[in-house]
Amino acid sequence: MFPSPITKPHARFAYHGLLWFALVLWLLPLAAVLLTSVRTAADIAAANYWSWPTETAALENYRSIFVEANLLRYFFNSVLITLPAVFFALLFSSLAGYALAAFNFRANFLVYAMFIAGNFIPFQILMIPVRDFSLQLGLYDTKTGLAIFHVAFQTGFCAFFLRGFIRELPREMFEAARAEGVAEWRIYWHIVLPLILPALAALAVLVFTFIWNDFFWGLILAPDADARPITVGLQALKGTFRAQWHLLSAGSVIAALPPVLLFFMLQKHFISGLTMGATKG
Amino acid sequence: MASLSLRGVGKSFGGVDVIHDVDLGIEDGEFVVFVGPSGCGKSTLLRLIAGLESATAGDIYIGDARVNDIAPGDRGAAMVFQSYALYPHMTVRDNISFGLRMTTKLSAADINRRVAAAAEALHLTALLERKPRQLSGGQRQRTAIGRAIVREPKVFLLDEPLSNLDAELRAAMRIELRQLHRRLGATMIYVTHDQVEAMTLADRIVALNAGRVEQTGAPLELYGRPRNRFVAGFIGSPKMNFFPAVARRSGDGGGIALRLTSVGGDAEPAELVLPAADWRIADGETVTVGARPDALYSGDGADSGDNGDGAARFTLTVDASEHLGGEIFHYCRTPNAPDSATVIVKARADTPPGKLPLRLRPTDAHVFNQTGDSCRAATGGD
Repeated sequence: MFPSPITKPHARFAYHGLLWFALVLWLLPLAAVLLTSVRTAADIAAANYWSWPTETAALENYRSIFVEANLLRYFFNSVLITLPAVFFALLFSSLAGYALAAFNFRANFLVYAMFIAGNFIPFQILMIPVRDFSLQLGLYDTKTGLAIFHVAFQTGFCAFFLRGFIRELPREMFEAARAEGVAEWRIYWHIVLPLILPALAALAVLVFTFIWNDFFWGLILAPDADARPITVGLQALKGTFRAQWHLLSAGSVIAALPPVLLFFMLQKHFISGLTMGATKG
Repeated sequence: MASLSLRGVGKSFGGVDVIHDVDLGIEDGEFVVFVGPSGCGKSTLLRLIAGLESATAGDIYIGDARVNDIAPGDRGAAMVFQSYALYPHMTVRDNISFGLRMTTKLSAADINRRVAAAAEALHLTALLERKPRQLSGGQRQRTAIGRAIVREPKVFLLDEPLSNLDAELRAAMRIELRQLHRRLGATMIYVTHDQVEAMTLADRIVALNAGRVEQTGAPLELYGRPRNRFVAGFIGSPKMNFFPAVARRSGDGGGIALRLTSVGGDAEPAELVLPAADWRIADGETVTVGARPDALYSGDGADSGDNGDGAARFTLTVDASEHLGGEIFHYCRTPNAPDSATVIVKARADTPPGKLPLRLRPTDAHVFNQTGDSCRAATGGD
């Protein structure tokens, strides 16, 4: 069996020691953010960063980011940007993935290569052209505009991933349906989609996290209060309140919750989706 | 139900010809088996008929309609795949009814009736609510056949449907398929590389090699009168033995003497005398004589030993033997280098080992010329 169990006592001891060390190191910033989010401003001013808060201000902090800093609005902006973007990215990429996996047309490889190549372009160099483009389209500073660009940026990777996944499905299954005269979109809907559900779930978590956590495009394409996502909203918080870390931390905790919740909801699919397709059967 | 005809059908993939100019007529209700070694184009030919590939030359007719440009689903053909190609997320019932639900306007009641009838015929009734992964290989295969039956196609296309089953199940399914064909009266085209399946199932066999039809005919016709060396070697198990030989026409024109050069000695040449009228063999021509393994052994007392019958007589030493219970296969080497080859002899199980007395009678002999074609003169039905 691999990995083989560690049996020697001192090796086990060292292993456990390292494990705990890594775990604490990894979780320390998270713990700090959680603690800070329930501190009072006075506590932070007294440089009390790591000890237990002298008085907890959880209710006030979380209330004030929602009521005074308008974070709720940014939160819903993020929801309205992310959910449609994830949906359409998965829809388009599953269609593209099926087409690339199941049909032999002349430009097949070219299209596929372009999907891959797109992933290698550092998106920072697209910053100015994309902003100009969105201005010209009249989509600048709108949730729709930001969502559309997210769909465009995510579809390439997703199509690449799903093409590989669909290719692993037995080709004869599609041929059997085709020989029966079943229309291609029905094959897509009734055969392809149900069978790639695990992959879609994995991608949904991944893409949701990418888009939800995105700061760059939000800042470039939707900086104003009407459209800005929660990540950009948090940044704005810093300006308004002159780095009120307890509020910023509380906002960060709220901003981080949805991807975490989604991951736990779909984690079974996530793991099977990432490993499925690696082996046949 | 419908007849089917292929006229000058060819297929090439990127410049590589895999099917050459195939002409073939299939009668309504006939059970035709395409047989040949792997890579001979038999599956491709089937896929051309199904419409999963498009022909690069020639015409394909199902009934009276030219179907070259008709979509697979509208050709009236149903295909069964070697890998079954079941939809893993659907129950047996949904697998069988999927095509009907997606492509017809049949009512749910009609579809249920058809599914029930097919399930009944294939002993699947109790399994209708199961998923494919809960089925055995044979049950999956029957589900795949059920999927074809409910469409009530004009032509069934079966691509090595039994290859993934174990030997026992394969034999049972062969019989079921034969019965199904009789019951439905449908035209069936069945592709296999297994000549036993071809022999047992077919009304007519189409033997294919390297994208060409080598011979078409009833199983016993291909077995008894192979038109060329490929068919002779492919049909029949164990394989036919081949002996190189040199022909000598006698002066009076009554017979052709074929001297088998790989067996027999100088003192006692193994010579086969054939009636000249039945064979087109030139004097001095080098030919190949074929003999089935069951046509050689003469040690059971049935041989007269009389040389007047034209039979070639020779003795071979057994190298190895395979007991099959009721019979035995002896593997012998021909003594004369450089034409030394293995000869398989089928005999009764109680054959004494050691040297085998053999004889090849003119009626059991097959003769092929240098290009591999049969030298048998065209007579009657040939």
